[in-house]
Amino acid sequence: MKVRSSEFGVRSSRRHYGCRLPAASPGFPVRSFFLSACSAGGLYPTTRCFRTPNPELQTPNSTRGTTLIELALVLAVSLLIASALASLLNVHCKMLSVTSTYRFLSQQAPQLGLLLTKTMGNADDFRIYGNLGDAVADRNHVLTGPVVRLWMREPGAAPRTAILSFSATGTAKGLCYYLAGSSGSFPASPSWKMPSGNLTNATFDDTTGILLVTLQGSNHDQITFAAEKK
Amino acid sequence: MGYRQLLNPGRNLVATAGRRTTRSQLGSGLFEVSLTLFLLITIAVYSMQTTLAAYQAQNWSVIQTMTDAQASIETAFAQRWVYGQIASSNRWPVYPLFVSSIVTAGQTPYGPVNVEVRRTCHANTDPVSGVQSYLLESYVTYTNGKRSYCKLSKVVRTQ
Repeated sequence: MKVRSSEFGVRSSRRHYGCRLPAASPGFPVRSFFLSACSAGGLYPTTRCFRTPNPELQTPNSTRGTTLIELALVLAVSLLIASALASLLNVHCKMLSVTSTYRFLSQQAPQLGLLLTKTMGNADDFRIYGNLGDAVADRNHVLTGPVVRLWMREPGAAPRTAILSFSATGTAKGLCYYLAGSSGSFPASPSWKMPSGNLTNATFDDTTGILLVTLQGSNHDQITFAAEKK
Repeated sequence: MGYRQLLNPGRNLVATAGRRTTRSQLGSGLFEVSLTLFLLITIAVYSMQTTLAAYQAQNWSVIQTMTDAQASIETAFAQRWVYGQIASSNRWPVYPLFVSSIVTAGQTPYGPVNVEVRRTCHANTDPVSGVQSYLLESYVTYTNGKRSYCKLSKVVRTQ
């Protein structure tokens, strides 16, 4: 009868086949009398009677297969769960990818839309141009373009003007706001820049009778805002 | 056990010490690996749920932004529409009549987002002054499966 003992590693009390010693009991000083006892008449070599924690000596051939089963089980469970983890990781990466593609629409476009609608809503009049130079010179206005010039009524006689311009390159990359001084001249550099982020294009449109601005992101996403009167 | 080990017990002791360690590790290995990977899977599942929740919230935010933008466009049209053409344009029929149209509120990386816009108006004439006014209403409705979300744009135009 095999009994697993964690203290001594003894698996069978009958394994002392020819040894004339009694079966060991826990705490019995086996090693101290081992040599003399076996040399005193044991039928089997001394290693058969050795009862100190020596698993090789106390492990019969039938027990060695358990190690293989354990190893196979560990490997099988590891492979099974690793494959599950790999599939979970794959789905997780896909979700992260989808989430990152929505970053412009979910995080940047709302802020830009709020800034644009507030800024454009304060204007009493507007005109759209094809480039910043035309807007500054107030010439060649069009119905659709990347630059809009805004006129805002002031308490005085002359209105104040500002320019909203989008540029994909250069130092003024992104959406920039140019506010004219009291003399009516525009600064060379933007008065302030809007946080553009993944914005790739901005188009102002007046074909419908109201000022619309369409923002396009880097993932073929776009959204259109309108200027409401305050 | 081979006869060489029987004849050389000292070598046998050294060799079996390592085997004892390996066998004991493998004995508890199944439990340890299972426990560790179970914890890993638990963490992965919770992470997945967090990611899904973030994705749904983000999608909700995108739709909110687009419907808000469409409602602001409706408001801008209602504010700037020529007053004398409000009734004749039939853009805002007098309630209970209404017009409905499908418009594209925006475009996501995976396709356009279409919303339904219903417009109607309430006409009123002041009995004292005779001034006519319109309450222009636009309902922007987004349908996602069985759920519908509606935003309202209201503008009062007075003669």
